[in-house]
Order: sequence, then structure tokens, then C-alpha cells
Amino acid sequence: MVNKNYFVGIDVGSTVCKVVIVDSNGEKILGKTKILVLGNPEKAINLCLKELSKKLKIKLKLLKKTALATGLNSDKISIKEKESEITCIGKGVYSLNPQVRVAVDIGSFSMKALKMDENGKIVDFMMNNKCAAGSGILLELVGEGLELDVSELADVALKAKNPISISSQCSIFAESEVISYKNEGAYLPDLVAGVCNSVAARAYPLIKMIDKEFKNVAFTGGVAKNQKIVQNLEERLNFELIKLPLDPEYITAYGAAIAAKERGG
Amino acid sequence: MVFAGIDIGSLTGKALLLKDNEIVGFKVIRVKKTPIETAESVFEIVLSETNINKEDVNFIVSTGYGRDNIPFSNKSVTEITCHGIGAHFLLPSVRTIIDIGGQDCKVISIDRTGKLIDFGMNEKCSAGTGRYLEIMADLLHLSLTELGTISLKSKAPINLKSTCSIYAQAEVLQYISSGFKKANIAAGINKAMAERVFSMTKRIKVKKDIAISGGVAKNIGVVRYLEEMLGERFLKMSLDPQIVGALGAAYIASQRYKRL
Repeated sequence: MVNKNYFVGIDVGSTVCKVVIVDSNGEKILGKTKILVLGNPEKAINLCLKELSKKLKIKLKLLKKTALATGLNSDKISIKEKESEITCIGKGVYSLNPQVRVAVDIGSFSMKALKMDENGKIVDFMMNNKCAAGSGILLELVGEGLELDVSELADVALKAKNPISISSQCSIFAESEVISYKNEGAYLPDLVAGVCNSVAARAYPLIKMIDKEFKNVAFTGGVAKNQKIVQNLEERLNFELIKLPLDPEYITAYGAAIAAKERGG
Repeated sequence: MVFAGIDIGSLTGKALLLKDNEIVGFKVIRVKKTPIETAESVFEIVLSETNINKEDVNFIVSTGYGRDNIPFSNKSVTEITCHGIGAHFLLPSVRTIIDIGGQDCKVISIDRTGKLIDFGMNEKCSAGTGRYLEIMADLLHLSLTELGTISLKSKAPINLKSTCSIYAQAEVLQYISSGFKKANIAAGINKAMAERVFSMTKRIKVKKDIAISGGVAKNIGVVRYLEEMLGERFLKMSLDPQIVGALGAAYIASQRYKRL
């Protein structure tokens, strides 16, 4: 028999692998960790699971038995239980706050929005996985170009006085545009704020397309950690986003753990 | 009478000098920090290489994405017009020009006199532009020209699923790390590039003869795939295909000067 005191959710995305372990009720998070995928998703999940196995004193084998995986790279790993990202985002958000009706998720490569009913059932979703415009990769490219870490961008941007408007949509062109502005001597915070605003500008219509009325919107995925993007998105929406009691980067993995519980519990 | 055309693109700056309707010199350089710096630098090089004094140049036309604000230019003209005129100057029978630059792709339709009839342009998405190939060539440690020649050896091109340059880059990395042959990867890249450009030609009436200009014309792989898709051979240009815009600009300069 499989031990049912904990369930493991794995979100192995294009860039980062995130793992969350919840207790038997799915209420308490027992542990969480993340690591860069670096082209080897299997290795990434093993490293995460080993770390958590050590920390929680649970055998690696047992962890794998209760694990469920989601994310872009989940088809390349040995975990058999799988679920779509949309479902996991929905479960994660709903479990953290059942008031939420719309979730928008921005990861490294894609942007998704989904709508739920009051029972957490997904009634509609939209996804942009054809074009990387407005996704996290833009922040990474700009960070590289400006020699800033992605985690520093928001703090720099919050000092902006007159954000520069970035006209390129394509992330690759936007990176060149940013470097041209830098070379012309633009004030760095104004430039970074412009980039952050351009991400919010892409997320906004997705939210409006999925639902014009609901105001209970949560923002998830690695990009949601950037407070400047959050702030600008709130300005555009003209209401505040719902704050969830978990690092937005881990919400999909948390939802995967909830899905594992529902299947195995 | 000397006339100059300066074409400031996103990745390269080009300058060309026309003397009595003959091309006396041209130069292509990588862009500098600002369009103005690029323009000044490429112009100075072409002048010194041809031993012509700045003061002897009668009229200068600038074109390309950085065409405005160049202090020594007498007039700026869009690159669409310049490419049409430049291609017509070199090859009078051309009616369609496919120009693939560093950050854009244009399909230009002209009449018998080189006048613009219609055009389609992509400058919003890096897929299908020189930038796409530059990223891919970098991944394979090849030059743009090598990316073309090596692909001719391919028997089984890879099939790239993504259009987006960023997604395709991740796909290519996966193929490289899985040990696929460089030739097959390069051919798959060139094919995807050609498909993207071909989809643009559908929006414009493509009439014979067709010519290809811009830096990407130096990639024989993309050229061959595009010819296959269009079912037509491109007319050969006697000149560096990157210089067509600057040539058109210089010719327009000579015409403008006559009217002064």
C-alpha cells in the first residue's frame, strides 16, 4: 500500500522545476523546493525530491509513488501520474482561496488564463503558447542585456519616474529595443519599468477576454513575483488582485499535489 | 556627380556611392551604438575607400530603420521604396522583391519602372527575419553563410514545430543535445525560415521575375527552399544583396538632385 500521509506535486516547466509536498488533507505544505531544469527534467525532479526526502525523512521511492507531474516538460520524465497545467493552476488557486474565479499565469514561455465556477470547476481557459511575447523569457533577456538579475528588476522598476514605452511585441525585438535605449543613456529604472509594463499590457487583454466582470482575479507563475508587473496590472484592471498565501511560482506545483491527493486519497 | 545612399538597418549599416550612374563603391558594417554613429562610420569608410571627398557628394539619401535624424543626409526615404528602386536599377525585369533584413521581412511588388505597387511587411515578429537565423547560427556556431551551405548536405532535415524564435531556439537546443547532425538541423532551420517568408508572399501577388535581397539572401539554404516553395528561380544579383536598399537610396538621390 502506498503511504497516504503526503502527496507530491511536481511542476516541471521550461526553465524551473518546482516541487510541493502537502499533508494527507492537502491543507498543510510540508515542504517545497525548486531548481533550474537546464535541459534535463528528470535530473531536476530527482534533485528536488532528494532534497525534500532528506528534509522530511521520507524515502525517495515513496515520494515518487505519490507524485503527480505537470508542466511543459512533464512528458519527458518518469513520473506516471500527470495532469494538465490548466487543471493544476485551477486546483492550486481554488485550494488557496475559493473566492478566486479567474487566474492568470505567466511562466517563462507562455501565458494562460482560466475561469472557474464557485466549485472550482474550470469553465473556460485561454493560452498563448505560440508566441513568447510578454512571457518570463522577456524579463530574462532584458535582465541579461542590462546585467541585472530577474529578481532585481521589480525593485529597480519601482524607482521609475517616467517609464519608457516599449514598442516591440516580440521578446527578441524588445530586448534589442531595450539595449538601444540603454545605449542612448536612458534612466535604468524608467527602462525596466517600461519592460514590466509591457508584460502587464499583454496579460491585461487575456484577463478581459476570459471574463469582463469578475474581479476575483489571482496572478500566478514566476512572473507574478515581480511587484512592478503586479502593480501595473492592478492599475490597468482598476482593482486589486487577490493575494494568495503562497509564493506564486509554486501554485501550479501545489495544485499538482492537490490533484495527486484527489487521485490517490 | 556623386550620389550616396545610406541604409541603416537594425543589424548592419550600408553605404553606396553612385558616380555618373555607376556604382563606384559600397560598404557594409555592423551597427554601432546609435544609428547616427553607424551612418557616420559607414559613410566615412566608403568615402575613404573610394578616395572621394565628402564635399564632392552632391546629394545623400538615407533609408532603413535608422534613416531619420542622420545629420548629413539630405532626405530620408522608406526602405520599401528604396528596395524597389534598387532592385529595378540592377535587374529591370524584376517585378517582385523579397527582402529579408535583420529585423524585418518585406515582399515588394513593383511595376516596369520600379514604382511601388504593393507590399507586405513583417516587423513585429522576429520569426522569418534575419534575427531568427542569427540566433540559430549562433547556437550551431556557424556563420549565416555557413548555415546555408552546410544545409545543402542534409538528407533528413529536422522538422521544427514552433514558429516563435524563442520556442524554436529551445527546440533546436534539444536537437543539438540529442546529437542530431548539424546539416540536418541547419536544413530544418532554413526550411522553417523559408516557410515563414513564403506565407508572407501569399498576401501579395507575386509576379515574375523575382529577386531576393537583404542579408538573408546570402543563405543558400533559405534561397533554395523559397525557390522550391514559390516554384520559381530568383534572378541572380550581380551585387551584394545587402546593398540593394542603399543602391535605391543613391539612385533616388541622383533623381532628386536633377529636380533641384
